[in-house]
Amino acid sequence: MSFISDILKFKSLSIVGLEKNTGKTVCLNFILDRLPSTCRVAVTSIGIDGESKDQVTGTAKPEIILKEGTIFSTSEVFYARRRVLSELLEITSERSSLGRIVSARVLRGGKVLLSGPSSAQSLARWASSVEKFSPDLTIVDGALSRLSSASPVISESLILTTGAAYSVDMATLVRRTKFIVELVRLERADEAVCQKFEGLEKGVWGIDSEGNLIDFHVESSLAIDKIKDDVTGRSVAVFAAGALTDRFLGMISDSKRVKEIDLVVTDFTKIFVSEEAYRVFLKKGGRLKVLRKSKLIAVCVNPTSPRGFVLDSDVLCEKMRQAVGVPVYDIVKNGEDI
Amino acid sequence: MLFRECLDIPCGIRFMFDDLQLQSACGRTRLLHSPMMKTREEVEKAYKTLGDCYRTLYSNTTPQVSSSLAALKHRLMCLRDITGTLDRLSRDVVLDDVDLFEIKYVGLLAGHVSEGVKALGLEGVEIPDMEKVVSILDPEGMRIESFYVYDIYSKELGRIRADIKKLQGLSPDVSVTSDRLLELIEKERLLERDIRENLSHLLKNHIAEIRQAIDAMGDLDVLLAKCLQMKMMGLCIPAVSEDSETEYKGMFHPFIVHVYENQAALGGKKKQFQPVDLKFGLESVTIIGANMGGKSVVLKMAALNQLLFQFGFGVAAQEARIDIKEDIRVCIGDDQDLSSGLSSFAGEVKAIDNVLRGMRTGSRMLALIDEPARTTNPIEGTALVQALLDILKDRKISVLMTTHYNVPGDFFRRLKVRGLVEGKMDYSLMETVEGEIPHEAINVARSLDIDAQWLDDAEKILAKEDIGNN
Repeated sequence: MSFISDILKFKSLSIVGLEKNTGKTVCLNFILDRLPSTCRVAVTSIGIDGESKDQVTGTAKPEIILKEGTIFSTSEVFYARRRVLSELLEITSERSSLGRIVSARVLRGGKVLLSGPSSAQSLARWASSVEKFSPDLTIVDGALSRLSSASPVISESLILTTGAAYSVDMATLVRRTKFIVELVRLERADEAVCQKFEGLEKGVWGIDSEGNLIDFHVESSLAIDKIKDDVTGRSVAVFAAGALTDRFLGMISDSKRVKEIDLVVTDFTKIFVSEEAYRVFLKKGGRLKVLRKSKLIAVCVNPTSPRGFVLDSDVLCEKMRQAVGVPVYDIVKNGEDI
Repeated sequence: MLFRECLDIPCGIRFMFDDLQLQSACGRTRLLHSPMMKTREEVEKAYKTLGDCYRTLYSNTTPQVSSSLAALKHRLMCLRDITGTLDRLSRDVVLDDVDLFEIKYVGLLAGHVSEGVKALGLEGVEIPDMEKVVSILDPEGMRIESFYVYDIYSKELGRIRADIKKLQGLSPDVSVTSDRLLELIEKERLLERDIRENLSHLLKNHIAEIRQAIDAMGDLDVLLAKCLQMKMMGLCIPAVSEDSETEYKGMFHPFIVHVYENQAALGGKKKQFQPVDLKFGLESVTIIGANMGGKSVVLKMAALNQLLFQFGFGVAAQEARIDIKEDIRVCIGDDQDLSSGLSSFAGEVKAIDNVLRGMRTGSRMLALIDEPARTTNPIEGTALVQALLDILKDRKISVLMTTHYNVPGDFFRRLKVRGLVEGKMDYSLMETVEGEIPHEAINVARSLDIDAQWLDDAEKILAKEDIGNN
């Protein structure tokens, strides 16, 4: 049960799938089922999720099964369609395309469709508002297109789901998953550097060799051409408060001083660079760090693609484990042993 | 006239509205839809409540009062607009759990707010009791903000639920299911439906009560916001005039004060607003004075304060005694007629025409007219103003009018802005007589650092005319 006991070390968890049909909901149900009954859970999902059929591929998806005592938040429309007995606790001020988001406590277990707040900001508000029900663990069922739901601002810990739906070529699947895992596991910048950059919400900033904070006076790293020489000329640490793009990364890679600079971003959800650009950056001696880090608990794999292609689960788990360096599980096949 | 219809009168009333720190949408709606008060009883009652409330909250504030007030405001922040739910209820729609929760929530909130009002000792504020409504939705008497179709509503429901639990065991996965279980779940669903229908039916008898409670909480929100505004802006509680006379001592314009404070906060020169005294009865008063002498500001202050008075706000003066009007008409040209395609002259005479129509209805009116006929030649302009004053005389209305024209006649009062005194503008008003039209336009323009050649040439022309006239 090290999987579950790892989860219980944290107050909050996000589950993010790298592609649809990578077994995110199976993973969530597995966790909800295995958590000890003394653990009070609050759960929601970002945007539309928990629909009984996948809206894109039409494949069957398991519903989310909740035990007595669990707090859940979903839209009004899905609340009306719930198949649990539950006590309504709150109508939140968050809205979605399916109506207001409501929170309730399960009185008798059963199935629900979850569709919670649809942006990272409203999710963060949800997480703080649900605190009043004093849960032991909050779980966010994330969405692949909204990696931001896995931001450390919202959850302390993270589970990635990946699988044949992401790529049916095992080598590609492992390589691409490994890249994401690398980003999730980026090191936190030095404490002194973090303190200087903490709280800066936009722009590009630097720290010079004397430890002074430099404002490069640009709105974001997207407007970098003007400040190229300035940024690479004298900084020992550079902070991009917004999104990190290939162009910005390339600018640092091309600099003669690439080895002397710590490039810092808020957290891994702000990184929008291609694997190629990142590899070039590393090869030239670049270092990428984050201000906030979340703990990656495990990678869960689903060897079956929605079109029916099946990879060898044992081989996949083993290769993945070697590549990513965190526990890897195939919950459907090995659920009993985890 | 509703409050929301006054917001576009260019006198600063929108600024006052925007400044109010309302906690709830209900408060906002209540204020926007409130009608202008026109009777002494209404106005006196409103100011009695506002005055009492203000004294209780702010005239020796203990930490206990502050924290009770903060708690009460927080409660009001939780007040949601449930008009839609109530409308559905009145149309015999069966409410679902979310709707029923909303109503219960408002009911419990009314109780909390009522306690908060009592804790503060606010007089004249009454939040109707929603105990009956709450008891319908809280059969267990737990007074907790939550709702489901409770077992206690029907013995049978309780039994069925117990059976379901027994059959289901520890597994919450209802897909592993027996025919017996399915049958029970269906029975439960039907019973719940009947109970919701019954609850909706019971609640329908209380719609008026629920609305009253929500309105009362909205009104309380407005009252607290008005009190805070009084404190922040230094507004006063006005007296209702007994003799048709309106009198302001130390009248000021909160928006201009706000602008000055902002400029000072940004490191600019600290300007002081010079408060102005003004008194008028059922008569016509013209206000003359130099350009930039604050004539229009006087009109705006009079308009703003009259509106604040008749909607029960604190009034922007040190002291005020105000006559209740049935109609307030304001013609302060702000080039508003661009959209309707009228020229500035056409826009202006239409606005004055509107005042005359109002006058002919015979209602007690306050008319505020800024420089009528200013956009035409001075000869016709003076004639138009003179004729206007002539028509307005002897009516039971109050008219304040600014002008640059030297209007002959003794059938109206004349006030004058004191004007430039040793190079500094004195904005106070004084009584004056016919013929005293200030000639300070060029001096004022000079103080603005305007092109010197232009002003010199103008002075030369004036000098020549003087010689010619002599």
